Amino acid sequence: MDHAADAHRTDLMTITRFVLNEQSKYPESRGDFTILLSHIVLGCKFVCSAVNKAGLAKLIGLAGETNIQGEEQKKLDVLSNDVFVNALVSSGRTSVLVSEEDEEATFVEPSKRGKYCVVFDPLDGSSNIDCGVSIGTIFGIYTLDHTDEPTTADVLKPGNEMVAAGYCMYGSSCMLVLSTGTGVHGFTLDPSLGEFILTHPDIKIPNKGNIYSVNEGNAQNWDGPTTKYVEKCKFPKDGSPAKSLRYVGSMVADVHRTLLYGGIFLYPADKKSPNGKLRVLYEVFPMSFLMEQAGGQAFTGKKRALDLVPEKIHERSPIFLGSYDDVEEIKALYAEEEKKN
Amino acid sequence: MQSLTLTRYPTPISPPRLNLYPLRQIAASVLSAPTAGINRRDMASRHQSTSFKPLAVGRNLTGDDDDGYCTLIDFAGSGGGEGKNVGEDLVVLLYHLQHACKRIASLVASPFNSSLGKLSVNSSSGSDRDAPKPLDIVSNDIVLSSLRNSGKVAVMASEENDSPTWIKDDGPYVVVVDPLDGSRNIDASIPTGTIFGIYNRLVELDHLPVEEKAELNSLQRGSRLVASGYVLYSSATIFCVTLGSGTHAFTLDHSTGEFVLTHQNIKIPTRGQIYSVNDARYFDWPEGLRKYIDTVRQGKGQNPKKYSARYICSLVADLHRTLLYGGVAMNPRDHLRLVYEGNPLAFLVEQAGGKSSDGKRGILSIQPVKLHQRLPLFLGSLEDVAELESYGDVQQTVNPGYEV
Repeated sequence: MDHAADAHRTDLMTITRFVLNEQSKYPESRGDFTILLSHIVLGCKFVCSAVNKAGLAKLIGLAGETNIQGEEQKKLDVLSNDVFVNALVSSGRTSVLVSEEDEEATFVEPSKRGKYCVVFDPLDGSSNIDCGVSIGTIFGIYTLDHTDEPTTADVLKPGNEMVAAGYCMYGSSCMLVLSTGTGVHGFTLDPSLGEFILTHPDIKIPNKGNIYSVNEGNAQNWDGPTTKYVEKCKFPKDGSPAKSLRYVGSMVADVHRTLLYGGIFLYPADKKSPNGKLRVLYEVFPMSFLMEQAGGQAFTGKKRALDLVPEKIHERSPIFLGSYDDVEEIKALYAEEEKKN
Repeated sequence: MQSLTLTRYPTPISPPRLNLYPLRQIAASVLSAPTAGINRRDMASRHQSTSFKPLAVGRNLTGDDDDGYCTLIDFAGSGGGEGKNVGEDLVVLLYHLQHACKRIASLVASPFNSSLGKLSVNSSSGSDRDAPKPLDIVSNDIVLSSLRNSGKVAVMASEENDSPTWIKDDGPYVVVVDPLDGSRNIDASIPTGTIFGIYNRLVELDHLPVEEKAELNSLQRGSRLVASGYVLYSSATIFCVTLGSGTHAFTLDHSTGEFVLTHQNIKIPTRGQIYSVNDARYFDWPEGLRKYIDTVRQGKGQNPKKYSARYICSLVADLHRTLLYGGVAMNPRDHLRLVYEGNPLAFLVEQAGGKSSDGKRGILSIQPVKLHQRLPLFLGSLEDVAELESYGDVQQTVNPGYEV
């Protein structure tokens, strides 16, 4: 590979070009989704730039202090939220927004409304900003299927009704992973062009992986099936090689690695968090959507994750997602447990 | 691979408004660094028109008496925050080293590195001359080239090379380096890093044959380090360094191409609440280590809080978090290299008030006998590492040969 030549190619598949190509397959399409996505992409670029400067925040005026105009300066997660809310509203293609940062849903004013509802976590893993760990933005998109006044009911739908989902990971490189329901594709931001370039077309998760990802610090609080499964990962009785552990503690980073290398990501319920810790709408659903689109599975301990019907916008759920065969194993352990009870 | 000799970042020249190091005479030497897009004559004239105000000895470099914007080179030139004279040679060396790291950061972030990350050393396409190199080899070339250009390095020993490279007979310094630690994770955008250590050249060995003096210079004890550090390539690019008087971190400001002081005089908490180890190996651990992990997880150790687990499996990333939040980062089997990883990171941690150990003794006291010598490594908060050592049997000797 000639790095110099690649850097000067003009036939690169950018994310905009990719989505336009997809759009052309639907003659009735008016380009609304493309416009919405371009606003999400812009938000991701802005946040990426801010995250790069996170340590410089105090010096260049981002952190939670008062600036020279006497205005409170914004912490990065709040800033990211503002960026995405503004980007989504100004797209003119959204009606309802649900953000991890806002207690209530945001309803777009009638003059700027469109046919999409977006659920998102503007900066997932933001507690990791200080220590330079990869963090990211997660989003899911629903369509509005009526012309009445929008309500929270428009987003309290099962994940299997999402039309698109993705995340942008701000790591050693900035990568946007997207599915519009026809496979999963990864785009890497070229800092010199300011464009996301298709680098991982049609990602397929391996059927089985050799990495599991969970916070073992919580092991004493896990239920039976999770405990058994993790023990099996470490000490398989069938003579197969033991799995290895990786746990960044930032969902986007852990899921991204799982997607590319295979294996399983677990955030189970435990005694401290009986409903799990991750939020259904903007963490569990988008990541489960991507996993299934890449050939993997996502399971809550009771059912397929995308079949959950949330009742509250910030509802939580346990989640086990990753390679098809690995998730099958934990499903079997939960089925066994259910038989006993 | 022509473009690898260029950097995408602006050449790091401090704007006139900044306080610059008082070593005016080293400007010419600094200009020998590879540059892109700026005429060297322009650079020289810009340097000369800058007012070189000496930094007040020992003052707080982020105090109210200036705009708080202090670059790595300002900082080193002013004595590393302590006002002691680190010497112009070391400043020049650091300039070239940070330049190399900016080039590596640019490569790591590029969408065009996906195939670089995956290639094996032996892979080739067409003639060997045109065969693309994997990213860790490219990084090694970049560091070597920068150290050569500095004119300040006698020998470089790299984790990527079987034997050290002799560069310059009268170079005052010896540099040991792991150019891209964690590089096998690059295609999943997992944080990676460059680790380095700097020693004085042992002049008493000058009479020996090149191979011999190159090796012996590189096998110095960690206690003799002059400076060490790492560069973390992650959501931000962070250059963390000690010049022997405290540990300091600088964040790359892409708008100026400068590493800017963001964490002055880092002090690792005396205790943390995070342990970092591959828990999957629990059944291969010795009794002491199992007991320690079980105890702190349950909050029954000397610290009554329950410890949480984080394990990125990128040494630089796991250590960076440990340095800022406290706790302990470890690899209990003899896997990490004393010369390229153990010593530089142990020096950095101890300068931040932390502790290093191989499970039995301090890392910096160990005399390396082989360049690629491996050992167990435990780094972190003073009290956490001491408590871990008190369990006695913490070094993993069972090694069935792991795939991952």
